[in-house]
Amino acid sequence: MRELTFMNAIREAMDMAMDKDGKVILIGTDVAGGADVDHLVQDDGRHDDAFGGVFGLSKGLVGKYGRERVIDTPIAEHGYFSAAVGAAATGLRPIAELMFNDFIGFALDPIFNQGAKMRYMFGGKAKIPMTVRTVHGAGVGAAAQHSQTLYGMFGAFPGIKVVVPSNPYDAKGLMLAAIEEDNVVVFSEDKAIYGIKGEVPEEYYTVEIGKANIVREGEDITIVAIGKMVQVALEVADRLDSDNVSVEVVDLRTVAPWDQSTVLQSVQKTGRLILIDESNPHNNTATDIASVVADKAFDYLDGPIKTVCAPNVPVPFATNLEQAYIPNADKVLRVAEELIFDLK
Amino acid sequence: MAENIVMPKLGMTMTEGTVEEWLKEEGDQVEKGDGIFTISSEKLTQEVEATSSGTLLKQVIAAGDTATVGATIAIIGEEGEDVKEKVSMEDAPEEMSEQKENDSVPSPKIVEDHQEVSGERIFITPLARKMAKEKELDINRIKGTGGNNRITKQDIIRVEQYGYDIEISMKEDVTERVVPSNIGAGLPSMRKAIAQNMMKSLHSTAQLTLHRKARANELIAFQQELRELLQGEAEDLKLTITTFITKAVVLALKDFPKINATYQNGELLEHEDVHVGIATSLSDGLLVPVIENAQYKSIGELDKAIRDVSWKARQGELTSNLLSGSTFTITNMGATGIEYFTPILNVNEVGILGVGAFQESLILSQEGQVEKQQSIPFSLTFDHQVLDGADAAEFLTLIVRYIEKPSLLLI
Repeated sequence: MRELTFMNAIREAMDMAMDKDGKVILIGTDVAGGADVDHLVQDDGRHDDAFGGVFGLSKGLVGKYGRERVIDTPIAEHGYFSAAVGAAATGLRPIAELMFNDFIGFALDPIFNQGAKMRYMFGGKAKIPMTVRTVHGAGVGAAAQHSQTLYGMFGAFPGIKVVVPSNPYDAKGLMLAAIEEDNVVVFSEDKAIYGIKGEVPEEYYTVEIGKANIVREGEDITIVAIGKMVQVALEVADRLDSDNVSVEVVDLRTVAPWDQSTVLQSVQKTGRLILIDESNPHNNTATDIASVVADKAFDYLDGPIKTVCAPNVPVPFATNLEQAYIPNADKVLRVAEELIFDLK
Repeated sequence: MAENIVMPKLGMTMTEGTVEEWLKEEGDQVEKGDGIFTISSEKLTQEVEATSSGTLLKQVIAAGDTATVGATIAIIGEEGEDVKEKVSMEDAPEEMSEQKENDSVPSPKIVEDHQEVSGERIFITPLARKMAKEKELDINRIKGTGGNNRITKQDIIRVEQYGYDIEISMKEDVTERVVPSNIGAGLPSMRKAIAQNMMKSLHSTAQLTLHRKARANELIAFQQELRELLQGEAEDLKLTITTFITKAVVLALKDFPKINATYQNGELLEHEDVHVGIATSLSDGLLVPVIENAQYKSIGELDKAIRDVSWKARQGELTSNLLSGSTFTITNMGATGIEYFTPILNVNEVGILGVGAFQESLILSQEGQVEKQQSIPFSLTFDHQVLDGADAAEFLTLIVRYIEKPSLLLI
């Protein structure tokens, strides 16, 4: 099958959605890129060479769908997110981009207090089919203000769904599902895996929101991982496989509402749980899953639940410190040693 | 001032005794030293004497009833003295002392609860606990191999397949636990004590018996010679074969101290002194009076000591120190015609020598003559936990050497 990068899979999904449904629009800072720059305008008036966002992810879309549907905004997140919520409430399906999730402070009111509440406040009569594209994650030297992992924060609000794809296939399917969704969906992309390649079908398909994916079946330990951390979980599984420890890896896919039934069933099977989440260690998705599992699967637990997260510090800029910050397989094996050693 | 006469402790292992018979009735005048009642415990009956003169105010325990060591059996005081309070106080001696020391401190029950709480906690995962409950497993007997030594699912599965890791609870004394407490229930005191000791012995040791004959012609000749030499001089010496065998055993034990030992609670202790128990059968049971420090006794002294303790045993006059503390035991069934048997070890010992009846046979002597041969059959039971067959055989060979060359007994 054809392979695409993670980034191109997302672009293809947006392209297909915009092609299929004229109500889908793209709005954000530099989503077209190069607004009103004369030398970028083609002879026929198109803007094919526009930058297409800070990572170039939406490159080409403005040329195809025009500036009416791919809207560059001033650096004013509160303003354009408010515009997007209004557009969603009045019939469009906006994909609004928050360039880095670290900038969420400027867009809190339109997302948390307007977009997430309107359907409820209007007794179900208003729909807010808005997709918030944003970017998280450390590993590219973007420093403390551009490298955080904040999807868990969005997931704390009722009325917002949060998806975190781990591979190109899921990225395309989840993006199309997010655009189809009639509620606010935060689509959080890890910038460090934009370049990874994977098989992606050419046709239109969706991946169900709220459904986790068992990417590897096992009997002894369950590892639930989010986004980029799924690769870490698979490496741990490979390394433990040589010790005859069988690891089940669950790709959470959706952070809110996360798939309790899949996680609980897996823990009931294995009795042991490790959670890998690149967020800072407190009040995050891993701690939330741990609390629910400790409650609902208590009698099935054969050891303490281990969470492997980033340390409780800002993301360092120095490359060696940044690498030490991100959870990796060694760290998982070390932190969860007491859950692993007796299985070997 | 009234004085209490309590159940004495007659042996190290005695925890309770039975009041067999009251020799004085309530209201009787007693003098210090008078026997007031008799008790029986383990293999012994003993008279308990008044420790002061006065009136026997109360028989606290009825004849036939059992009381723990230290419990009040009788109260002696001045006639008319009120004993009620005294009795109720002394019924629970340990609680009393506790309360005397700290009047305002919580009751002993709370102390007990506290001890339970501070006991070692068992770590077990929720899943393992649930499985153990479903499978009705005792988690006290499972060794946890998970993190923090907690018991996990794997441990439950292993125990299900291969059995418990810990045979019995580590907290309790092994030897006490393996013998059910109802052994000997309903039997008279002496029989009950015998039953418990025999069961305890069999439960706590790995017993094996070796058999071997010793030629006794020379020993019999030696006995005759000594008797003739001493005729008219030492009328109180009987110089029985038992005496010579005892001497042979004592010498062999000094040569081979590994079998003059105690193995208990994981410790093997070789004794320096040789205290020989002589099993003595009575009409209603069995006693094992002890010849203390037998290694210092000559044949004549041993002969007297054996005769003395045997006589006392049959008269029921043995004191407690003559009934406990043996390090090796000899049991003789020769009088019944039995040749070989498998004696049961006395508790806390690792060897016991059984002596059978003299056997007569015809043998061909070295000179080619047919001769009458007298021999003594020996049965040596030992604890295979701490001694091997070769050890026991070596020890038995030493005994046989002393029997077959009796002049060695004089060294």
